[in-house]
Amino acid sequence: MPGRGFLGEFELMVLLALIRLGDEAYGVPISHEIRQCSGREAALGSVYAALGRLEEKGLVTSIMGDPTAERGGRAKRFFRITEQGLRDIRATQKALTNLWKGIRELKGEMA
Amino acid sequence: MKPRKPPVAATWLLNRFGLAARNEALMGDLAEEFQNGRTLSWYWKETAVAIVRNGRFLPGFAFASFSGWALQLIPALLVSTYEFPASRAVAGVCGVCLAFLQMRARRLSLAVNFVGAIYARYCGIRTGPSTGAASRYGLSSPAMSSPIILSLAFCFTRPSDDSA
Repeated sequence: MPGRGFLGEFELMVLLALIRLGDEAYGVPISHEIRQCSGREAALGSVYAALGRLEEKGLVTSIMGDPTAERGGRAKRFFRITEQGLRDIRATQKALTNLWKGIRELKGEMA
Repeated sequence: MKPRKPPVAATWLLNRFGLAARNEALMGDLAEEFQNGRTLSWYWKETAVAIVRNGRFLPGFAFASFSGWALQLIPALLVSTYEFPASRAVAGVCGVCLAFLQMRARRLSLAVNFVGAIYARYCGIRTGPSTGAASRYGLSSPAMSSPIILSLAFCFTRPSDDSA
């Protein structure tokens, strides 16, 4: 059970994108990953807001990379999921799976 | 190929109103995407989202604006309703009360707002397009000038991360 409640939908998406991307997880690829997997456009501002909340909760950590000319001399901030983050994801997955178990197949109808 | 430059105004807004701790990375990401063919309207949309989502500064700004305006409206209304003489004593008492309340809020902007409004009151400076109409209803210039002065103060005061 997570200590501070379950993860929100977007926070969960961001954490899963971090796991998928591994060491290359910074704003742009995270946003692309969410768009590719969910079909939803994820604004960079929203991604950073979610990452900020997750970092405050101790679910992710970040380090600054080197500045590049392509980015106007600005550095990338790489994010990585923490052990606590992984525990919260598992707890959320478990809760959602348990909730799904009690529902019959949804065949275009309300359950 | 010549690199595309992000719009200066959007960059300025992000610098002023974005979240300082992650602004560097966010602006870099925006620049990277812009270089890779994103449109100008996309950049502006992202800027707006970043300010609204990351701008912890905005609630503080709204609070400071409304509280500063309300605090100065009260003495302005009293002065106009009861026809107090616009003396230094009245303004001084109002000023001390306002300063106390505003300092309690620990907002530099509010202090600037207060000083600017009192100064405007003494100089008889009329600011803002609605001042003429408002003065007909007896509202004095501090009440009308404070949001403008406050806005200017915010423009020239860099918000810090711990201001949230």
